Amino acid sequence: MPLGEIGRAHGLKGEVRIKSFTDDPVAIGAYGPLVLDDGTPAVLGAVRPLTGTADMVLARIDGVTTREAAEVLNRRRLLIPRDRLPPPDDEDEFLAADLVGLSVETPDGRTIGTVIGVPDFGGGDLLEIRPPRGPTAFLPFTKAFVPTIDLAARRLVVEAPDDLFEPAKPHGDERS
Amino acid sequence: MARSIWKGPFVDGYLLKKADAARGSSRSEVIKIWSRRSTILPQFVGLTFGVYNGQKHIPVYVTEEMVGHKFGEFSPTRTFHGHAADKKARRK
Repeated sequence: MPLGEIGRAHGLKGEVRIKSFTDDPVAIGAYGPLVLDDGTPAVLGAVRPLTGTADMVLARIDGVTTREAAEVLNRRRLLIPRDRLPPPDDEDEFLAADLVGLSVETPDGRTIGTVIGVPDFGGGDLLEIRPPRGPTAFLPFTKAFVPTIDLAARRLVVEAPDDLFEPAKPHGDERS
Repeated sequence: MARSIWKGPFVDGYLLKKADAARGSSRSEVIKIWSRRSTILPQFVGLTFGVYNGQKHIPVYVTEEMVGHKFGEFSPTRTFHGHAADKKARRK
């Protein structure tokens, strides 16, 4: 799983900018040894936030001591094995990566789509569901709408509104 | 200039009717609304609104912290593809 992407070199001593994909950008340094996308081990050190940016950090990578060596790493991704990520704290907490790809079924066993994302726009976690054809739709990630999650069987059961996948009208009846 | 306090918060009238109807029904539902300009009131807490963003209705589960904000703040109109690899989702 990708945890970050190395950017351009910083300074002359082999430091690099890293775009961190973790919730707390600096936490990318707390996961232990990572690997580059070609399988090369990458141990991060001296991770600190990059002033003026939301998700960038500066870091050293073991064995990289010159600017030239750091420049070679530009655009390389930093990966971590799935089993190294900490488990969720309780039964209602899930890694978003575990939910993506689950089959979405209705209570009567009909498959209506697949989870393709777990965004949060500030109004609570959502499941973005892609039907076999047509545009995606969002469903609130609450017990009322998603009563059953079976990670082992790679499926979840939803109480979806009847018009979940219906195209939205530009305005409601109340404005016409 | 800020809105005068004596006017009270602005809410489109039909929202209040829809919220009351949803509270009365036992089935959980997403209340489709188009009014991004309406203020979130305390009586909306616990309801889920589908706020139109120009393309689709984005579900917004209203919590106490959202009171006083506008619905449109929680329904972005531009595409954003996040990365967060270690993101955790909590089922409420």
